[in-house]
Amino acid sequence: MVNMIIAFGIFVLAYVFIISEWINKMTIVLLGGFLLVLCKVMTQDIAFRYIDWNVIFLLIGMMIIMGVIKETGVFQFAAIKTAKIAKGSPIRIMLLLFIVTAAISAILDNVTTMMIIIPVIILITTELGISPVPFIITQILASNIGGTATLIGDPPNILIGSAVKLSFLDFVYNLTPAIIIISAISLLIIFLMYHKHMHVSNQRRARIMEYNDKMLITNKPLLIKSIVVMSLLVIGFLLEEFIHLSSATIAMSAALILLIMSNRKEVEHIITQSVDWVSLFFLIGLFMIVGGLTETGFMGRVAPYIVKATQGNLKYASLGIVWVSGFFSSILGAVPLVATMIQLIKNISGSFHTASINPLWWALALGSCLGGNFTIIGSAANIVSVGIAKRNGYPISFWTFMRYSFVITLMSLVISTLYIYVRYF
Amino acid sequence: MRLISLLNPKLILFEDKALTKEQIIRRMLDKICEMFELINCTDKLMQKVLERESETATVYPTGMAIPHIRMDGLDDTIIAISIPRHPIKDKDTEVKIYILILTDKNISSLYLNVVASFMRISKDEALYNSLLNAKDVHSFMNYIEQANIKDKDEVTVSDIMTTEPPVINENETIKALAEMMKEHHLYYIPVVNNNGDWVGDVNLLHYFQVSVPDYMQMMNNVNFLHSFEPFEHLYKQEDNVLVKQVMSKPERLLHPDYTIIEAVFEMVKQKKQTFSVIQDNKVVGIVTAMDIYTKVVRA
Repeated sequence: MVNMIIAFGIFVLAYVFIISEWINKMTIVLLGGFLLVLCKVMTQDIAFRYIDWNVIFLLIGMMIIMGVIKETGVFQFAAIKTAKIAKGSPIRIMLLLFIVTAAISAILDNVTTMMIIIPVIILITTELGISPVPFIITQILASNIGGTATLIGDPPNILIGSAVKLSFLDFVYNLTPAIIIISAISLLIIFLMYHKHMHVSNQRRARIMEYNDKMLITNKPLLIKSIVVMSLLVIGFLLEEFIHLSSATIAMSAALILLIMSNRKEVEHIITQSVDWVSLFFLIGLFMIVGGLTETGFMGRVAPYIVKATQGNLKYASLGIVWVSGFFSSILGAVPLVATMIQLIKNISGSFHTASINPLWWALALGSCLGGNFTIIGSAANIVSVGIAKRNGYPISFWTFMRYSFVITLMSLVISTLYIYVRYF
Repeated sequence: MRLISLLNPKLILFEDKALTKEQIIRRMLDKICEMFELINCTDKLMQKVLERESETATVYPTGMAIPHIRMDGLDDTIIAISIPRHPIKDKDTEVKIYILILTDKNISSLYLNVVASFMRISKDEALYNSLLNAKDVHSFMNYIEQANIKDKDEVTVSDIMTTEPPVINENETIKALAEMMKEHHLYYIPVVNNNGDWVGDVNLLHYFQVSVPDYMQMMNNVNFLHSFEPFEHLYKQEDNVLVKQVMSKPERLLHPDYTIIEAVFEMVKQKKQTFSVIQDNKVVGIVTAMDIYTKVVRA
């Protein structure tokens, strides 16, 4: 019982620090993990057993791949080319970039995608003489929506997929249709919201058309190699169930092959600069802290109350999870929320008298990833993008962000609820 | 070692006639050759000194010139001093005193310490003026004796830095900064606050940085931009951006008492060629990698 209280105390304190950011959250979470060991709540061996190394290495693999591909200039090319295809029309640029960003985010890391796309957006809007703020916010929304579509699109999905052994194909089959519907409606809402408010002169449009996009691919041989490896990676993920390999092995193999094929001198640079070690250590700390709750039996104690609240009904539980995870991920951030929810859902899974509790996982994935769009702090991509905007003289306040994001996030969660209801019940 | 111990009164010359730089150096070399048995005397030495002078000027803003050569097999350090009563224009500076040093190629620290001693003399206004106005060799030597100039253990930043550099207030605009740089032919200026305390440094790149906004710096390249006018942004912002918004602060500062190796270490480590030299929060000088190169390494 004492151990349970200590574990819960450390968990609550860590989450208070995650929200308040009084201390660097990676440091505090990792310290929390080791405090559990120091306080003898669990041994180091047990604490380490709660770290999901499949998640850690899958993330490292994807970060390395992203690090290599971004050197080719292909993302900047995609953004500029999109603006040219849109013929410099602001609303067309906004809509097409939404699709491009969502598609890239579905396969690659959202934060890095934003770090490449947002500067290009500021450049384009500066050239067009219009505010970049609506563009930045719609891109953030696109990134979080697109990331929800696949196993590797967003860290919450990686956490869920790894913890519950759901494959890449499972995610595509269950989540991608919902995301396509949500994206289509988002595009419609964006069109209705903005199409009357963005007019630019011919002269300014012409400046966009003058961009020489052919110059943007800076390393064509590497791009070709990257496309080959990425294709193999996706095939590997699709065949995951048949070749009996975990996603981390597939991602790491692809990443290391790509690394070997890229510039040898860049290897250390990519490993040190493109792999987000701080986020990885944050995750490791989270795994240990949440593991403390499971190990001490706290999750087991809370589970009956949850089951009672949902009357042991999988439908109510699933629909509830969409909204609860949607709301809390916008405050806590999706990753800390999902890390906790996974353990909680595992504890209540036996209480439902159904063959599969997978709807709960899809509800968690949809709720937590899409809920990240509610607030400025809902996901790492939001924080990074708003930071870039601020540094360039376009501060986006909490409320400004919400004014733009509210309708689309609300719609996303409503569609997710309907989707879960129609598809699984 | 005291500087006076290294000086020979016979090698201190007061030139009442108006002479050229070459004549002055030749007269000092003649005196040296009279007193020492050197392998290559006047003409060859003269040629070497002039070659060295053409490579790197050894004239300091205080009006002191220290021509010198390093020779194989000399195994000695010989100092001759000449005070022309009619100062000689050399590289935009009026030279009031020539100090010719011959040293062995392998004697480095003594030579550097001698140079540092003379640099310190030139910065002590009262002593320097007394020496320049000395009536004769005897009083010249007396002044040096009384000042008790000793070799320091090592040459320090204060020995080679440029003192009293122009500074700019942190609340000035970058337009004022640009004008100041142009006026003084500077690419680097220490920044101070209203109390005159040092708060950072600005260089030309800080100024140019305004023309390349943050979002452009995040891009892989900007070679696709044909119509982008890079300085359009800079011209628009010149009156709005303040020096304090663009200045930077080095990780660690240079103090006047730092040894040359400490200065080189910081320059290499911080990949920064120019440093403000700070004492008690005030800018007391500027030292550049070129100062170290010309006044120490190749000196």
